[in-house]
Amino acid sequence: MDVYRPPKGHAQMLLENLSITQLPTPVEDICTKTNIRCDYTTEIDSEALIVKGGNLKRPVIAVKVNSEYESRARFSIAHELGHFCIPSHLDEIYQCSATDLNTFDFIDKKDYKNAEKEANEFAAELLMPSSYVEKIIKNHDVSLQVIKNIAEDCDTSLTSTALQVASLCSDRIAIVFSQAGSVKWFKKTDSFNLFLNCGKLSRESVASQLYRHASFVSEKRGEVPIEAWSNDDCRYDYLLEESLFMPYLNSTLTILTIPYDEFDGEEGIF
Amino acid sequence: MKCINCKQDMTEITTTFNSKWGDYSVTIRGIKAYKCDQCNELVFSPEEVRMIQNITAGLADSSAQEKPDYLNVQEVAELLRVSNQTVYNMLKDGRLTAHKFGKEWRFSKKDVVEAMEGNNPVSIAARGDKNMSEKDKRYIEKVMNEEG
Repeated sequence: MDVYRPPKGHAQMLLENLSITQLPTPVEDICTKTNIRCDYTTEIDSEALIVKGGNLKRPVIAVKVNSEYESRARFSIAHELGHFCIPSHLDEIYQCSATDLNTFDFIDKKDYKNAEKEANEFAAELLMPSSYVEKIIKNHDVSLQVIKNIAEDCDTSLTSTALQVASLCSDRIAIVFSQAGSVKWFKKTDSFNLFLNCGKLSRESVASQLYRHASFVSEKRGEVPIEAWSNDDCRYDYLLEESLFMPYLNSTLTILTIPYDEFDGEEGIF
Repeated sequence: MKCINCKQDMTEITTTFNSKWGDYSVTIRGIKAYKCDQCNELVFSPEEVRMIQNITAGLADSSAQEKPDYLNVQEVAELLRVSNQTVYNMLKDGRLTAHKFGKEWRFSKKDVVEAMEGNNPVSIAARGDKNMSEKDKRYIEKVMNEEG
């Protein structure tokens, strides 16, 4: 009897079936082993696409050439492999835009595409297996350095690595992605119980400082008042913020951590 | 295999196919098909469809007048061996294209055959994202020719 598997289950099964344990995950080898043609091309408008229907001898994955950013191509291939491996993805063609490849926990969910989110979950697990990431975050507090180390081992982007870490972490953290001085999206762990503000970055935040003075400092850590990120009325006085400015995306990646205090674990205190 | 309408499992069966054109009819036994356990939708493999179409086309060759280039809903349903409702559903979700004259739909037989052959990238794309760019369409057409 067929049992339902979440997208990450299909990624784990694929790695297991092909006996792949090394990092970074060899996505092109996976294509070869599963008889999928992989093209890097300038002939498409989409960021990536897969054609797997009709009477094709073998499916074709096409990735738009983007020499500036190689790890993005690896994520695109892994994403298209998700459309190939997840049984409920029945369409014969999936054309994926840059937005589709960033469909995780968007603030604006009007354009929410379930298949694209599933393919992204698949890709994240294929490139950054949870067994490996969990082992790292079990022994280290989540920080930009930890995320950078994982991204280097897995050959993935900092953004996708930060999201995978946040989805597996039980600490009180939130990952915030800001572009051009405004919050674009965020992902919180279940224990991060603050409502985060959207829109323009507060001038009190480290992320805003980095954005305004990007040419001097690209990375900074510090304590910021709660109001810099949230209007919630809570007992915490400050948040730990670590931000990194990524000039090629005109964006800032931020890790927010709620510090532990003597009231932690006491029922009814927020 | 999953049903395209209700996404339930389909079972492989052997069935009999009846086709008629004008005054003529033909029965083909032993056709392999997939039947949906839920909604009874019947799907033939592209090879079987091609064979049925070749036989039906040969039968229709008996009279040029009996082989129109434009078909109505009933004729498309007979050609594809599906119900009239399925033809309307296929029209609605973009798997088939047609023109409306007054209250009547007319289908180009060539388009219907191409859609069933499954090699037409436009018809395939129509089942998914309908906003396919010309550039993507050209690329898909190219790889389908190379890998087809």
